Amino acid sequence: MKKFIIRILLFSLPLIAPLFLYVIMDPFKVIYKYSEQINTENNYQITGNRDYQSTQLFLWNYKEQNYNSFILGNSRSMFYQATTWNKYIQGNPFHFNASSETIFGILGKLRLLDTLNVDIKNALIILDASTLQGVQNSSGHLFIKHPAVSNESYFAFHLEMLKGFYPKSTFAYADLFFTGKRKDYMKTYGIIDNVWKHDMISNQLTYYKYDEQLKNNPNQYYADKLDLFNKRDTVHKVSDKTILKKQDEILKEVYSILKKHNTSYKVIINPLYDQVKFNPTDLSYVNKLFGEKNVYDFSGVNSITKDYHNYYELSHYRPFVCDSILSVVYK
Amino acid sequence: MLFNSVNFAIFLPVVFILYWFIAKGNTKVQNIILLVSSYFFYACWDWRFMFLLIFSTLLDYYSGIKIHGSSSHKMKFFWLWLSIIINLGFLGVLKYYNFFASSFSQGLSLLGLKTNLSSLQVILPVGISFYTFHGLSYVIDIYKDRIKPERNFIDYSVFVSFFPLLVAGPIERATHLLPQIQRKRAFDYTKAVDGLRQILWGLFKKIVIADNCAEYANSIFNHSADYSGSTLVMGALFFTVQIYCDFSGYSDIALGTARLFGMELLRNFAFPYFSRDIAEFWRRWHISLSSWFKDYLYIPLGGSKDGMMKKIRNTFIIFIVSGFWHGANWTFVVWGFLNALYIMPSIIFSTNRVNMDSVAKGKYFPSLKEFLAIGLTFSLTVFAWIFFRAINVKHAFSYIAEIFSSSLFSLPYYPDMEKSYPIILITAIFFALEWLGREQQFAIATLGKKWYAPLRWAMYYAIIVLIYWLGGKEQQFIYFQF
Repeated sequence: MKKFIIRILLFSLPLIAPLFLYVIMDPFKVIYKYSEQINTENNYQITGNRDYQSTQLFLWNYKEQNYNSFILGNSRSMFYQATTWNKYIQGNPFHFNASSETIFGILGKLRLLDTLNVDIKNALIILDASTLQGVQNSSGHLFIKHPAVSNESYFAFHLEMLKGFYPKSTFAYADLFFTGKRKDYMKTYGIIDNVWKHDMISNQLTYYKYDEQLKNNPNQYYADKLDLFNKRDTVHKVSDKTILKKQDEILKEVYSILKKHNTSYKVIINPLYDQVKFNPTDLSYVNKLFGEKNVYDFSGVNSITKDYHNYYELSHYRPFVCDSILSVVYK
Repeated sequence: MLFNSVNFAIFLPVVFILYWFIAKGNTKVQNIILLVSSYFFYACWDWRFMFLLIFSTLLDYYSGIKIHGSSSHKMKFFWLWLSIIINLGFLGVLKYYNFFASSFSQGLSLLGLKTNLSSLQVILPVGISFYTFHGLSYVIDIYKDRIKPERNFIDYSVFVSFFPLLVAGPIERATHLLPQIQRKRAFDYTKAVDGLRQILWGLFKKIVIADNCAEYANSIFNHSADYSGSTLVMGALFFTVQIYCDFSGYSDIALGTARLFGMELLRNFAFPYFSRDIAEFWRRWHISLSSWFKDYLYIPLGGSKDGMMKKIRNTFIIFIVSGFWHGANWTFVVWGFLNALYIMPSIIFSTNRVNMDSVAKGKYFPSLKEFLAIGLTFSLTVFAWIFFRAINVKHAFSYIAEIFSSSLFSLPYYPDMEKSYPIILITAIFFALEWLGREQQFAIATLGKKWYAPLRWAMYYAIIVLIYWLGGKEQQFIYFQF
């Protein structure tokens, strides 16, 4: 027996070491509770799993904060300000977004709210074709859904996190952990400049560093990115039809939860800089399901998508655009 | 609690330590530890159904004593049938009521009659099909005077609910497991190491192969109308690999875990996809269930004694009942019927016991005849699995119709096809290892045993790294639903 135990322990050492480091360091902040999910004090921030951050923050706060209004969508929904939205709805908003959010994630979040008996008074669902594609849990440590949303195991979740940590980024995070200093090479591993501000109540993110640059020297900001913006394909396209059987099932369940809660909801289709028009068949489906008066399509060629000043980069439009969209939606 | 979960990774060492260090060789204490941990293991799934398990255990324990103690045949018969009716009653209501109710309503609606049979909103207790069969074999064996009843309730309860076999078998026999529970058990280093190897192999089969194949099989079967015949063939092949690696992987983990506690469970799989005919396949696939049906249904029905017609009838009965045991769906019945049809030539021409030994024993390669026989048996099995996996019989027929259309000759295409190539390659290597180890208990039972220790450890690490890197998204074990 002694021989067996010793051999097992010896054999396990190389397997336990990275696990031990992962538990001690919690590189992606998914094990312990923190006063700040996104660190604002240091000169660096760690790119974390936004789905986990949003869901966990919600779970920590929801009993005290009594949220009743939710902004759902991918990173393009981040700049819809909870405070601005609240002027129209007079609720208690929570920004329930995720990086590369999918309808699987949106449904998971609504199911979670429903299970926890949270009143869903208002909902703002921000969509585009990519959101509709995801009908199952995402993979990768940045995108896998919080287990409370995916209804999959914590084991699978942490295994995915561990894969993001070991072996490729172990050294970078260990270096940061033990020296406390951020070095240039660490950017590759998601240890980035301090650019975000995060509200630990509404879960609102602000791109404060870029907003400062845009305020102080907008010409310089865009001059650096002009090449990127000029590369837009000028042939106007339409996105592929995305809503198939599985999407149909998911969207119907999303609708049924909203209906059950008598939610006042709006569906906004993102104005993307690529000017690809949201597929008309998909749009008529969404219109039919959620009601034409609740669906607002800003995709394709329009005043928003024509002007690159409305965007931080190719993917994300700026808060003042979100404000103007809200004013259209709630006029 | 799943074998492939972090909870089990904590649970198993804790029980192991309690069993060997706290009990210190005291069989009574060891059995109490096994029983408590088995109930805890079961309660982690749903504690309410633990009472059903305890009730079923009490019923069979008491019936066994009454059958043995009754002097009149009438009373023996009464206690036997009381146990059978109650056990099958629970199974029937919880597993089959909704199926019978809906089939009855549909049948009447064909005659223009309407019924209003409400369906039951109940969850099927995990493992009920397995522990019910444990209990039934025990009382039937006592009735047939094959064994004496177990007087020690703890020992009997461990026999029914020993956690490695509780939720998906193997379906044990009292004659095999009870003596192991009763006797003193000493720690055996070789047995424990073999157990760990078998657990590792089972986890590899389940997490790397079955779970990855499941993603493609699910995607193709769930959207079968969108795919060509060639893609549907790929879907059927993915499912064929998935179900084998899922269930035999589970069985490997169960057998390996039992070995850590000094117990040997019945072997459940013996490389079935290398079978040369369907009769051999069924001697190698889910062995504990096949032999259960043979001993407790086929032989009592007369077996092969009363002429060819009865032999054929009995064969159809056990295959259809076996299909139905898997689930309350006509797809399983058709799957059972199809397998009965497959086995008919062997029954009629009495060739069902031709291929008793391992194929190409002692050789690296099979003969051309053996190769063709394996290929044919495998193809028939793949075809039958379509019914097993399909949502309903209509789905299965439309799936098969598309396979036999001209689209069979197009190139297969399914989502993330490129990502499946490494899995296909690993599956091919896996089957090569299975072939090389086909005369062992499990494929890597002896692989590397004589190697220099660091090399052997490197092989174990390589398997662990593959589990870590290539693990598919965690999926339930398919047989948990049965």
